[in-house]
Amino acid sequence: MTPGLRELQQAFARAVFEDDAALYPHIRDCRFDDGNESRAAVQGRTGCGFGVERLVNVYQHNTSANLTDALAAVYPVVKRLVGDGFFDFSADRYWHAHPPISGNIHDFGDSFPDFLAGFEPARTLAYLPDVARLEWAWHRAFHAPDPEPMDRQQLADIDPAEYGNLRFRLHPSVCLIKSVWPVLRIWEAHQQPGEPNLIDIDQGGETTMVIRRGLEVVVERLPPGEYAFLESLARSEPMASACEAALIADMTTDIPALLNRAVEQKTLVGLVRL
Amino acid sequence: MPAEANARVAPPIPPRGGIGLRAGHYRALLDTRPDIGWVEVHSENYFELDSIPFHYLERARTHYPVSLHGVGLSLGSTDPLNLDHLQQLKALIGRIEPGLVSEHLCWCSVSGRYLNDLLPLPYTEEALHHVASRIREAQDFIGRRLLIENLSSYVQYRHSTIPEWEFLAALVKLADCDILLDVNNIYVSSRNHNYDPHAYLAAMPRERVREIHLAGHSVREFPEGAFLIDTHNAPVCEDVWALYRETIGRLGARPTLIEWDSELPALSVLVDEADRADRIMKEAARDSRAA
Repeated sequence: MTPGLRELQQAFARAVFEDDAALYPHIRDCRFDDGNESRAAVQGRTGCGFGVERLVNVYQHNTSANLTDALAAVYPVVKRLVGDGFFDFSADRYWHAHPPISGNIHDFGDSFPDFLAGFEPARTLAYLPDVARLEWAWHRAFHAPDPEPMDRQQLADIDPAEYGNLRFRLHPSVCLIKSVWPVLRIWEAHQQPGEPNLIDIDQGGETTMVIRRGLEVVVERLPPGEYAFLESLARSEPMASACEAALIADMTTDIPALLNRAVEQKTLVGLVRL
Repeated sequence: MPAEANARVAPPIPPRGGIGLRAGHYRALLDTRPDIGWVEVHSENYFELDSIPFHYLERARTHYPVSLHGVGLSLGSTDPLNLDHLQQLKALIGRIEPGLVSEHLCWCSVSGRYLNDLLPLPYTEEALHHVASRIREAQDFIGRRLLIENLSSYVQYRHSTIPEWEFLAALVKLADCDILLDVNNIYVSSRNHNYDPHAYLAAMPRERVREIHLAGHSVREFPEGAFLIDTHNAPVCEDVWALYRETIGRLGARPTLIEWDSELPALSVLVDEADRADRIMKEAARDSRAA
């Protein structure tokens, strides 16, 4: 029976994602297609002698390879940490469970860190999801725009009595990551090829910022006060709350110096108009 | 035919060899500025405007005419056209002012799931009218003509009733769009499906073919025999160069792109291939003057 176009496409997608065989009857078997050729006659000629399963498998392989490569491009450190075989296995499970929903491959893999957090075979690598979060943040920062710096005069013109109410816009690439694991140390150790130095994963957590600076993506270790300050501003809280959070995290935090540096380095790029 | 109102003064893509620009070649291209006619990029890689890759594309754009080639619009899908995707493409066109905008004769998604591959359509009346209306809708939305590229394919559907070349020729009339003729894809599919590549070329409406693609493919060996896969990871093979020579003989010079997507070699390797396309176009012009 002749399938409609939609029915055919759905069967095709199920063949790739679910290994379903409903597509097979609609594919032309190119084994001895013209009826009177012997196997010997078609040998050495391409495109002959292939059963439907083999042909459909070319497409299963393409999707699998394309999606695995896309994940490997975004998550190179995760791949090094778990090894090629385990990475491919994880990628395969991931794309089957979370197929792409966008025609832009850059969007694919956003939920891979959460997937890894719940992935039983990776359970012993408790730090893995946070390393993956850092890599996803790097990927997004690479594709983020780079707005103009904040107009300092605008800040200077504000009545000091109003400072506490100010809300800031952060650079759109900024991602703040707090982990109980030394994720930045792990990430840094895998930036060069070759055997990385051993890392004591019980040495404590880290607070990290990923940000685009010009044509580079930078990953920085932040002191607890600075992290609390930026994290509060990132949640659109006013300056007064951000300062409070910074001082709770570290009572020696130098707030004016911190604010100055954040404006200077374009971590903060604008004021939110009240 | 949609008016090209949005295309301010886009530098036209010249009938010369060009190269597919990939991230691994940004710096080499900008540092060495090779003598190539134009560059083409995958549209989706620049949907995030003002990103780091976008910065390099803008710089390349100051030295070379740019063409945008889409891989994810899923024109043949039976899902509603992805307006978010089209909107991003339109915004990119507005910023880059490409000389040409192309997509594939394929579908990539259904029921919201994307297979991240270029999948063949059955060549039926139903598919013909469906894709034609989608191309019209897309062209109206972005305000530009589209070039539609033929695929490499690995399956044929039992219920297809129209040869691919007749389908493509009928489609571009119905949709009022143009053709991006991938000569390597004709070769790969003709070998996989045992059809005559010359019949394909003969069926192409000369005035509609506005761009040509060339690329390398791989031969995958199975116990049953060999199969050609369009991998874009190798030089253009001699059989494809011969088919290209025939194509240019039939159509005249056309913008010709060297595509290389994985196992990227030095930029100079692509530039040499683009030079070879230039030489073939010059020889064809000489031959036709002599005739």
